[in-house]
Amino acid sequence: MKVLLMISTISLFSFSAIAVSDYEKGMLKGLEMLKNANDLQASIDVVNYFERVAEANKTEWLPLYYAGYASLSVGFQQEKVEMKDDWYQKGLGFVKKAELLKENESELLAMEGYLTLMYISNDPMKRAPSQTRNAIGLLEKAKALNPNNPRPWFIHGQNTFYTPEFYGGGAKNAKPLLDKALALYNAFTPENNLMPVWGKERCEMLLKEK
Amino acid sequence: MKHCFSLLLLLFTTLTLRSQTNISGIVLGENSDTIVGANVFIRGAFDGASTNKFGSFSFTTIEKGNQTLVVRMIGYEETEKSIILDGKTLSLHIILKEKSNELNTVVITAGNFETGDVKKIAVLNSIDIATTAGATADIFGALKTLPGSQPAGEESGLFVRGGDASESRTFFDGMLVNNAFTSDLPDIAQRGRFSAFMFKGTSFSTGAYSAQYGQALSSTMALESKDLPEKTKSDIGIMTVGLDATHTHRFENSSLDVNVGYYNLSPIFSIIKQNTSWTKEPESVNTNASYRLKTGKTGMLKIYANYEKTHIGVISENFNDITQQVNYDIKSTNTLFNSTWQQYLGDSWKLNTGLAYSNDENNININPDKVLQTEKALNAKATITHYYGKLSDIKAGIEYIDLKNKESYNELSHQIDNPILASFMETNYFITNKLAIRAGARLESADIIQSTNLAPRLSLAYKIADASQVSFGYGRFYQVPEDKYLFDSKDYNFQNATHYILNYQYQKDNRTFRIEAYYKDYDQLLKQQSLEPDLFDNSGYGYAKGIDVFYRDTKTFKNTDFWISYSLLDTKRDYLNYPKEVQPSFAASNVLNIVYKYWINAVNTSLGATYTYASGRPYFNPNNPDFLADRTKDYHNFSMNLSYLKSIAGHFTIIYLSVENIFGISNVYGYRYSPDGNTRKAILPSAPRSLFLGIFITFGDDQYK
Repeated sequence: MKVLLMISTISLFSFSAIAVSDYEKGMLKGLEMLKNANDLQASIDVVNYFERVAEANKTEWLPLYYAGYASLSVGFQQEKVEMKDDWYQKGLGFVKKAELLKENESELLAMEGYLTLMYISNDPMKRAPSQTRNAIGLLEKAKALNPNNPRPWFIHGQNTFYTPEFYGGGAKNAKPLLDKALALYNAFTPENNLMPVWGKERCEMLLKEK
Repeated sequence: MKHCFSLLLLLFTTLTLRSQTNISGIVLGENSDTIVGANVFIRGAFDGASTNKFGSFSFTTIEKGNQTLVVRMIGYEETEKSIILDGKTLSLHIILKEKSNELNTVVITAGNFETGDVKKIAVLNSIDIATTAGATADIFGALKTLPGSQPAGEESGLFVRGGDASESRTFFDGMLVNNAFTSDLPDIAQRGRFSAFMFKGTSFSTGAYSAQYGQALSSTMALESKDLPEKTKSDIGIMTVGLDATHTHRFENSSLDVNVGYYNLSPIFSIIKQNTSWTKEPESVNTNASYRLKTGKTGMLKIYANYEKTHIGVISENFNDITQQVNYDIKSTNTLFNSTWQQYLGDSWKLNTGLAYSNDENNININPDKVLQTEKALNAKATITHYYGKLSDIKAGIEYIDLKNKESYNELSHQIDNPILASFMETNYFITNKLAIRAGARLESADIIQSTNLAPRLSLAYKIADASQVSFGYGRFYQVPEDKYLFDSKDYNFQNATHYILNYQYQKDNRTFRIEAYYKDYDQLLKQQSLEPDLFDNSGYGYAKGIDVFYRDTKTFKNTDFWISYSLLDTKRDYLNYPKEVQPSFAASNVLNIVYKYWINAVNTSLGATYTYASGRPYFNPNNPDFLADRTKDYHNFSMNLSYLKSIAGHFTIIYLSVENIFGISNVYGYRYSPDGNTRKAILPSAPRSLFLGIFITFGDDQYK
């Protein structure tokens, strides 16, 4: 009896001490960090965290997806143009790596399009003429691969919203895209608790603005 | 029981204690700069941290034993460190090595200005050129606002640093463009043949240029055409000077551009006062086509063809007797064909081949005489480049240029055939990221003068700090004398120039500062030995030295872009019909350009202004025994332009207005004297003011939707 008690207690401690690389736990922690990140250092921490999760789970594409997504926030918060460029490129690196793990994934193509559009926005005069076609093409492909995915529509609408009117942008031209995105957001249910769900709040906010 | 309990306790404590090692430290770059945001982690685990703004990090890990610590940071080489995790706190000091990229590698800039939409070191892009007031979207016009270039408004071409226009060459994708400017009429500068929007980059070299180019004593302009266009679209231009239409069709791996244009300056010249007496205001018809094809994954074939017919006529003074008037009437036909093929072979080799041909025919009527000029140029070139190390490359090439020129004056005619065979080799060797050397040589053989030359080229560049670098350039440049001297004699040597250039450039945060000092030694220039008969030899010589300063700022003032360029030039020559070494007539000692652009967001309008100042130029006064000692008055020119961007019925439209010499300042380029020296006529710009208005509309899928 004593031995049994001892063995079972030891096993109990052993099991609780082993649970470390639980992929799902790690991802949920990362998503929590992502939600709470509110300054540059915290945003960098999120990107690096997901990079580590990706390193430890080399067959999973989602950690790389979120590392790419979190890079947007870092790039946006950086002040120097070179640093913005660096982080958007870093994000693109993660997304392209993920695309090798999961081909034809709507979320990945939408994210690649998003990062490319942000990179273009750092120097539109030089970059827009040669790169916009490719970026919008990625969003169109994302829409086609998953017609229920609101994000490519939202990204497209957001980019149109911030494009000058004489180039075919502005709130009016963005509205049909954002309307479609919102309808899809309202109907969207993710495959599991780790798949992306972001964007609805911002979509609603843009639709309210003139 | 006691035994068991203590054993359990021991087990419990070891189970919990063994799980944590604290790792902390600092991550720095090679120059002891702190690295912020680096990812420091144990390979294979989630455990890790990002470096903070001091470069330091700290985290605990439950991994144990032999592990690998990985440090990753964008722009740096990934670093690994073997560590042993046994509970003892680790304190680490990690140094990261920079990865070579565009921003931290040095660039050879001595004598070279990059403009365009691709290179980071570029000074102007195609929109800059189009919106520079006074340039009317002419690349050469915009280049004239960069230091080193002189405003010689009465002649075509680029006058660079004390060199005349014949000493400057233009290249299109590496191939020689024999007639980069439209037809030459006395005292009237013509535009460059190309639109700024055709090119993704230009390299304007005011000296010490690459061994790939030759036969230009003073400077080169290398234009790099754009690659495949993004979309199928059509553009039309309705201008005060004519109409223009382009259709661009994009296929999967290729594209075709076709352009037609009709220009007639008669309507606008009837409204705007002219100094020139036109008998036929410039009228021209132009068509060109551009075909681009991706060959394989890494190859590109480009074919460009241009056909143009022009008719211009003026009444001007007879050079030898200004009391007499002469009728000049020119009908020109120009054909240009330029094809290049670039292909990467494997990872580290690249092949470039090109074939270009041009035919220029000028039918000149100088009542009652008739002159017919026919110039044919053929250029074939092949270059192979090998990339080695992380950034270095070496290239070798051969080139064949054949210029045939036939001139007939009434019944008499003469012609020349000037074939040149050249080969060159050059390496761009990066000793480190921060120190680069370009060394090369060019071997040329010109059949017409039965001479061969071997020209060395050497440039060095050193990056002294994050945003600044120093560059030095040296080279020897040879050029066959101009055609007009070759008709009657071939007994010449190459003319030559030796350049020494030292430059400092600072480029950071949308501000560029550049200062350059140069010395050019000219030798073997053509000099007139006798008048009857017209005999020349190579005993001419000269020098040009000076300092050029350039500052560009797109950051300090909101929505404002401006640049200031100043050139100080000291140059003298004893060549052609000069009796002694003097400052030539095309050289102004001081030139200042201030270019300003302002974007008014509320009305989608870009406003531009350019002010150009040049100190008086020498001119020949037969009454003054001191040759070329007189100076014209100083030159001032103030131009403005306006671009209004609008979407009309969903089509992107630009309305563009430009006025040159707004204040109508009467600038004088020089004087022509009567044979007795008592009367003179000023050489003026063709019009005191000029005005241009155009509407450009793009049809087809809206690019940014």
